[in-house]
Amino acid sequence: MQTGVQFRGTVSANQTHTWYTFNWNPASHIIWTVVPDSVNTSAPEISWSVAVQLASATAVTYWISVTNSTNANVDIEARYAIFP
Amino acid sequence: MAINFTDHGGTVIQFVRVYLIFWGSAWASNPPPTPTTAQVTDAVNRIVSGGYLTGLSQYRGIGQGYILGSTTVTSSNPPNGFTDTNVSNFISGLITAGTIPNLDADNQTLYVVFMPKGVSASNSGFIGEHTYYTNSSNQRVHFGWITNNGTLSSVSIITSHEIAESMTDAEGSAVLGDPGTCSGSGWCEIGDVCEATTGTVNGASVQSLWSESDKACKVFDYPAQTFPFVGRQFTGTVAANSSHRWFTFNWPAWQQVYWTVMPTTVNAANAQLTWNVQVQRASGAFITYWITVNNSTNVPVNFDARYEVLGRWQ
Repeated sequence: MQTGVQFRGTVSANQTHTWYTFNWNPASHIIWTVVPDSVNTSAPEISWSVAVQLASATAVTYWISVTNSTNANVDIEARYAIFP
Repeated sequence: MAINFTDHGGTVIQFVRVYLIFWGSAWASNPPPTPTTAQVTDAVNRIVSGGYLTGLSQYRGIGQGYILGSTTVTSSNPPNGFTDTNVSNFISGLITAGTIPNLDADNQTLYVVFMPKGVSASNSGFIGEHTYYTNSSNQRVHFGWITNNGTLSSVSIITSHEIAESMTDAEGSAVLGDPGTCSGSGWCEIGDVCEATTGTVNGASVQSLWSESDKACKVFDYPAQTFPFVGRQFTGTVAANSSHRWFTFNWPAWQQVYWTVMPTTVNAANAQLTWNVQVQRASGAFITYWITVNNSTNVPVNFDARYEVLGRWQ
């Protein structure tokens, strides 16, 4: 399993932000997860969803939308795991 | 005298954003110096993102971190016999000029200044240090400086010591040795009692750190695990046409965890459950997952909440 952090960003309070990442292999089985990098001791901070686009026969674009459910900005990191 | 460390509740850095500053024209010389800026940057990346910092979770749940950025400043050189004030003025000037970013919103930034080979501190007994200064907005700016004997392993080991100590005791008011724990002056911190032991973690040379839970100096690293692995975290029941949220906590932040939900109540006719996951970093080291399960049928549905631990974060 190949894993890594693809990008980091910030989601404003009570907002949703979408990032995209492109040129992924359509043959690869990839799972995306997102975790906050900002500590919050009292409440859940974010949720996310993934949309996928076959941009060409050889390139997939993933669109990752992260929703911040708190009243403060939240730093996030988007992680990928590629199944062998 | 026994070694004992106590958390006095002061400032810690839960999830560090390290900003690297290479000070002096020697860093850009041709041929390049040994170690190079690239080698030092790689070593620090291995320190903050590998398993070395995972043992800090015993201290208020402190986690790991990442490199926020780096810059090489060739327009000035550190004086031989530099002081903390020389370094803090240097950092302050770079922030004011916009050369490096100001503090992040959570004040998790740690500025680390690397000296050229042969440049010593005013107190030549110190080869590295971390401390802070207070800026004009009354924020405390945490920084460290690292001297350089011309070897990557030395720079890497000193850096590992200072980063870990800054995270656990950024201002001399958090995780400190009880009286008698250290023989030297200054803040008595978890690296100070373990300088005799070094190791290699994630390919970087590091110094051991005091583990209060083990009562020993340890070179922390990830536990031995084979990925992926799966399991059932909990079971539950969702009433008809209802949603219910559960939470599960203390998941290592360095694990990539994916959640699925599986009904254990048979329904031959219709879809039964959907779910969504909310995520909370409860501390630098630990994640709490909040799993909301929605039952779209008109009867109660039992389910398993399953985890798939895919691997480490990077």
